[in-house]
Amino acid sequence: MGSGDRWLAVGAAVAFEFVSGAAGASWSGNSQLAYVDPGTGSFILQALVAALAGIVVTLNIYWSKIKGFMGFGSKPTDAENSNSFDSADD
Amino acid sequence: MIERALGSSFRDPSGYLFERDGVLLRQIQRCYAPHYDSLMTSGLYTELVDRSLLIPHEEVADTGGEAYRTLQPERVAFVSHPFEWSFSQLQDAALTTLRIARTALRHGMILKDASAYNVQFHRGAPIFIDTLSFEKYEEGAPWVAYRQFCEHFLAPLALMSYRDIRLGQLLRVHIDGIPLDLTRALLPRRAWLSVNLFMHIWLHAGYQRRYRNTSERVRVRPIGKKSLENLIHSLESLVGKLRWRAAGTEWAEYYAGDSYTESGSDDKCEIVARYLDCAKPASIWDLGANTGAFSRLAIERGIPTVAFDVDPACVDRSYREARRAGETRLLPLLLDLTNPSPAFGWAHAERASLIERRSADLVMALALIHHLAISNNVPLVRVADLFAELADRLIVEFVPKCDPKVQQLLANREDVFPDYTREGFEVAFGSRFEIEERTPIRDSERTLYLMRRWSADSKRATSPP
Repeated sequence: MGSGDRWLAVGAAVAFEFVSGAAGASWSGNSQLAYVDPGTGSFILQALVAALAGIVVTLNIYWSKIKGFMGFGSKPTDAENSNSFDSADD
Repeated sequence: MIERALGSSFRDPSGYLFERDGVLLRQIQRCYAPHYDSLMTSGLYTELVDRSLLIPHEEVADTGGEAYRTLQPERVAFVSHPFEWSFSQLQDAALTTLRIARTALRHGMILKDASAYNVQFHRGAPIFIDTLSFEKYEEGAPWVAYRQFCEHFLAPLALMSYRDIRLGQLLRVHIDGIPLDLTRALLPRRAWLSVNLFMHIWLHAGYQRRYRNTSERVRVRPIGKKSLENLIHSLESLVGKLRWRAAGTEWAEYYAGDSYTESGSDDKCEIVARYLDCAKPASIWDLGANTGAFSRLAIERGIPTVAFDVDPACVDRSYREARRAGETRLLPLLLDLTNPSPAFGWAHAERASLIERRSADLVMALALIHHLAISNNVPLVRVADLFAELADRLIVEFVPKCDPKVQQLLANREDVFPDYTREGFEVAFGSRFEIEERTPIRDSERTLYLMRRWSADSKRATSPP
C-alpha cells in the first residue's frame, strides 16, 4: 500500500469511527451456508462503505432539495431514459 | 432412468442441479430447509416470480435421503456466459441482482451470493436462476456477497465504461470475477472522481490487500439493515449511471454502408423470409447477425433466435432495441466465431463450450463467409464442417471476390484463395449439405443458399460430390 493509500485508509477509518459510533461492537453471527469467501478485507470494509454510502445518500437527497428549491431541478437525459430499469416499482 | 449431475453445480452445500432423463431438476439438501421454507413462506418467492426476477419452479414429489425437496425449475432456452453479454446486458444483470438483494432484505432474507452466472437472459430479460441463493437475514450481518458482486459486475462494467469495452473479456479469464487490484490498476484516474467508484473499487482493493494475509478471525462490525440498504442503493446508483457509447466500432453502421442497393437489400430480405417459411425451423442461431436485421425476420415468424456478433456495439444496440420493443424471442450475444467460447472452469466441465450449447435447428450465416474464409484464412470446407456440427439446416450467403467488401479485404494482401469461387464454395458445402435452393441477390454478385445437412442415409442414396 503506497503512502497515499495509507493516508486515505487512515482518513476513512477515522471517518468510520466518527460516523458509526459503534467502536467495540462486533457481529458474531456465523452462517454455515455462506459458502462464498467474503474476503477478509471486503468484510471489514463493508461497514465503512455502508456508513459512507449512507452519508452520500443523505447528501444527495439534500442536494436535490436545494437544487429543487433554487429552481435547478435536473431533467433526466435521454441516456438515463434509455436505461432498461426504472426504479418506480420498488 | 438416467441421472447426471451438472458440472457447474458443486460449490454450494445447499443443493445441486442434475438432469433426469433430460429434465432439469434441483435437489435441496436438508441443511437448507429453514431457508427454503422462509423463501417460500415469506412472500419473497411470490414477489420475485411475479416481477419476473426469479425463475419459477415446481416441487417434484420424490424426496428422500439427503434431499429435503426436489424442484423442477423452468428451463432457460439458451445458457449464456457473462463475457458473451454486451455492456447493457451486464448492466441489466447487475441491476437485477441488486433489486433482488433489496427485495430479499424487505422479506427478512439476504442474497448469499452474487455471481453473474446466476443471471440468465430468459424471454428477453435478465432473470435470477439460483433458487438457493437466499438465506435468512440475521440482524447485524454483513452482505457476504459484496466482494463477489464488485468483482463479477462492478469491475467489468467500470472497466468497459471508463477504459475499453474489450476489457469485459477479462471475465473469460477470471471465472470468479475480475480481481479488484487489477481493476484499480487499469482504471484511469478520472474514475476516482466518482465517490462510489472510489469506495467500492479503490478503497475495496486497498482493504483486500491490507488484509490478504490475515490468519486470525477478524472482528466484523455489525451492519444495521438500513446501512445494508444504503450499501445496495449506492451500488445501484453507481451501476445505473455507468455508460458506454458505441462510437466508431467496425460494424454498427454496416447497413448504412454501401454493400447493397436498396432493392438488393429488400431482395435479400424477401429471399431469407421465403427460405425461413420453407424450412420452418423451431429455433435459429444467426451467426454474424450485426444488429439483428435478419434475426428479426425470424422473430416476426415467432422463431426464437440467438443473434451472435463479434461487435459489442451491434450486440448492445440489438439488445437495447429488443428491450425497448419488449421482444421476448431474440437473444443478442457477443461471439468471435474464429475463437468461440470454450468449455472452462473446473475439469472443463463447469461452463459449457459454444458447441456443447448448440440449440438451433437452423443456422443463418449472412455476409459472413468472406470474413471467415479470407480475413481468417479458414478453408471453406472447415466452415461447412462447423455449420454442419451446429444445425441441420443452413441459410448461407456467398460473397464472391468481385464484391466490394471482399475487394476491401484483399486490397493490401496476397490473394491466396484460389478456391474461393462460387463453384469452390458449392463443392465445399456440397460435401456436408444438400443444396436445396440457390438464389442470386438482385443488383449484386452475391448468392443465397438454403441447405440441409446430409444424413447418413441420404448421403448414401444420392452420393454427393
